[in-house]
Amino acid sequence: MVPVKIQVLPEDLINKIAAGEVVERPASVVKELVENSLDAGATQIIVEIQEAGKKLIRVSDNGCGMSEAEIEISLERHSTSKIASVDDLFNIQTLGFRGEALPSIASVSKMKIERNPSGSGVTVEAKNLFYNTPARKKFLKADSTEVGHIGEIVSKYALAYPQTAFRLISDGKPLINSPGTGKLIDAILAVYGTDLSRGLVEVNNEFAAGKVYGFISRPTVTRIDKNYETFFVNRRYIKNFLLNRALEEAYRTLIPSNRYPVAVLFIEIDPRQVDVNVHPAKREVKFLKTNEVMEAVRSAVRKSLEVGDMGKGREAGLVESNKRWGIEQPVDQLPMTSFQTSNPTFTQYNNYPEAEIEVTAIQPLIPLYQLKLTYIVATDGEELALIDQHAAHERILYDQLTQGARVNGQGAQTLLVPETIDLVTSEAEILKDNLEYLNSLGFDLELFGSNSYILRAVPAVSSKSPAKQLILDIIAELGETGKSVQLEVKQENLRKLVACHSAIKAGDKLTAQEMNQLIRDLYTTQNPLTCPHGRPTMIRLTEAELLKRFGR
Amino acid sequence: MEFSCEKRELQIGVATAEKIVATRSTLPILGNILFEAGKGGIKLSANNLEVGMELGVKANVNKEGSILLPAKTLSGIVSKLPETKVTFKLNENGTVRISYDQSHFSLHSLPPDEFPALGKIKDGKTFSVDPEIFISMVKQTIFAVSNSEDKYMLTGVLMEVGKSNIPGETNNLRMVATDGYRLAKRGEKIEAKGDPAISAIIPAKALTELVKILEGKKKEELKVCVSADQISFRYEDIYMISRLIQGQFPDYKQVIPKKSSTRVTLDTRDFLRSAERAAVIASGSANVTSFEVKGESLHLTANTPDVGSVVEIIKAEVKGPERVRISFNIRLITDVLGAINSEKVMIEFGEGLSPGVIKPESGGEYLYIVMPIRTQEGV
Repeated sequence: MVPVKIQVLPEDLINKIAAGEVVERPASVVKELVENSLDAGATQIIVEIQEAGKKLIRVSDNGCGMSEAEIEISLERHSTSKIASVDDLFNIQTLGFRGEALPSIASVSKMKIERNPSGSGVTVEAKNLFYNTPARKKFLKADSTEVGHIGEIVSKYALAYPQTAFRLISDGKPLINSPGTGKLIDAILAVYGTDLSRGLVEVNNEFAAGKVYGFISRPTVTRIDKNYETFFVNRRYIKNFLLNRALEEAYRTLIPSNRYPVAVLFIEIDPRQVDVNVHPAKREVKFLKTNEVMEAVRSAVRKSLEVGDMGKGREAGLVESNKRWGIEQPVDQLPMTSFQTSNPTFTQYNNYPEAEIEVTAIQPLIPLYQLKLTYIVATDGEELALIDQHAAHERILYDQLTQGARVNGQGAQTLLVPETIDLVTSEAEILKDNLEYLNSLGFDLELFGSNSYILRAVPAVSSKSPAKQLILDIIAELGETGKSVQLEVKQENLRKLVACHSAIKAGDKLTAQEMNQLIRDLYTTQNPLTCPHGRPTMIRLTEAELLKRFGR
Repeated sequence: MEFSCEKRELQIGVATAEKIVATRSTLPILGNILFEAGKGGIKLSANNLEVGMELGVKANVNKEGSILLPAKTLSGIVSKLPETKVTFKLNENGTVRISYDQSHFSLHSLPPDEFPALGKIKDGKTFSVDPEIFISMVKQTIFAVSNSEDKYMLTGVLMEVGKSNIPGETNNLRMVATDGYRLAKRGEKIEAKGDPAISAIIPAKALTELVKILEGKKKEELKVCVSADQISFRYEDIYMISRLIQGQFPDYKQVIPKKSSTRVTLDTRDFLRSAERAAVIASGSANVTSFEVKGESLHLTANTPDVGSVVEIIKAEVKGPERVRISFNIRLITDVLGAINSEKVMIEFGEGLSPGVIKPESGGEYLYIVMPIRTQEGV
């Protein structure tokens, strides 16, 4: 223990300040306690939570345990069994080391540490978290979000410690149950489900300073965001965007540029080559030789992708399909200012008086050509119009969904074979939160086991999309955009998401007939000139504009 | 290298090879056609790494050798040549002189070394089939494949050779395609020496090209050879090879309904035209169209708020209870009606939300299963 020499502030105040750094939310408590259990050599860790951890967090393990005296001293700040000298700081082999966790948690909850009656391991309980820091409590998100965060923490440790059996129980319901067989793939199976696990290939490659191993997805299995790119350095879950970049570079040309691979990658490296002490929650690391590590990841992943069962032909096929893709980034995530300044046509449209839109909207446009498989060039004989096929279709589907919601409910296109959807806890919570409304839009999703759902139908408007990917993409984006409390806004956002992910994409080839239909349908919508996100669906060039541009 | 041939022969060869040439590849060399002049004539090859093809063209070869010529430019030239004899000659500086009548072109060529060689299947399972039958099987299934790369194994057509284990079926060659919402299946009895057992998912792209190339050809049998990861087709001196899609195709037998309660027989053309008209309105409401059996007719109803509604009544022969009311995506219905050649078509309905089954009244073992749309007003 490092003694506190100068004591200007009272101890409990210091602990609360430190708690601010260490304990942001229930998930941080779970993290600290699980780390302690792991450092104590536990092979079995049970995490129980009630009311998303706000009421209770209980972590019991079968680790080496603590004596009564140790329990007493552990509650003092900077007491730790994990380092003793400065030299140790540069050769850290344990997860925790600052000696801040227990006193921090104790200062913001009613905490109890007990030795297990069986003699091995301890049980730590933190009740009524943030009872004495109401400001912090107020900033907690909805229960489902907090459970999601906890699920993510436990998942990460279950992956990092396959030889330890993890259980996460939320309000009596088991969410994660990893077997602790010591095999990484078993842990991945427990966290991600069978479906995803089947699409993975193994990585195992050594480099000068260490080793890269784990599992990555085949190029056919992709996700809409980086949430499935998980890295561990010396078994510590970390975030380091350079590692993400190295991974994605290895997949370049194999998967569409706006899709991301699934990866659970471990980097084993001499502890002296990494600095983990750069972030209070130890989520970030610095490498002494960053480039070497990035190259190690890149080449390890490449190597696994090249072997596996993908011949050269397959790779080429994917390169080709790459070009057909083009899900755009959702517009509401783009900085709006740059949009308005860099795109004068857009602002111009906003200035159009309503009446004028009505008039132009009646004119039938005849499609002439599909430009870059993205825009429909059309004319009504007077003006030239460029229609963004994705934005236009999005508007059509959004209106159909909205109308269905208002009038007689949505048609639900049933699936030939129902699909099983395995989710991680945080995703399952997001889905649970939106399930009812999604089902009213035409999905038929039913809970099937703790984090799995059965999908039996999709909205009739979505029947051109692959059902499972549709729901996965929607969940991923819901997780990213966060939630609105207001029910109406929330439902509107969901309709936008369903419309966006069901609409034809840039790069989809359309026949003349399909283009005609698209234009016709567009003009039956409430607002044919903008997509639900407010982007224009078309740009029109009037004769006057042409005259001006040609200087006639 | 030097050879001469008839413009017509050359044009057919170049046009066929050009279909395989990669149009926007990251490997520029794939934009070329490989010319190999040997003893018996010349061989043209194209390869886009997904599908590869070679074919023979009759020619008088004066000097053997091989070169690469850019497909686009070459086909532009060849298609505009007069109907006469054309001579190709490789010069020492690497250009190819294409001469005809009094005139000539000089084209830059590339050395053939880096052009990826077409694979040959070793130890594959083989069978032969009438190309006309094969094409018709492809055409009746391929429209049901998924266009989405996310469902990779559904972007191809499953081809199976071997006895069918579905009761009542006598076929031993089957093609099946599905996008998860409907499924098309066609069976045919062929002479298959040695009864090979084959199950392979062929990329739709390869089949589309094959159909274009084989269209109208019926002189000889189409020879098919399948290995674990590739399939090849040979017709006369045309050879095509494609990779296969790896993955588990859904168990289609499981989705074929065992029984139906109501069977409606209609004139295929009447049905198709009515469905196409209903689709005009239905397109405004996610193509949802209601199917109702009333008396001796089938009623198709669609409506789109603020646009209008349609009721199409088609004369039908009805067997079983009349009380059928169920909705389908009308596009999934027009798709299959366009692919059926039989004069009459049968549509079978089951209980509740069970799938609709469409079959031609005559003309081979063909089955189309389409999943209904559940609507709020019930079924």
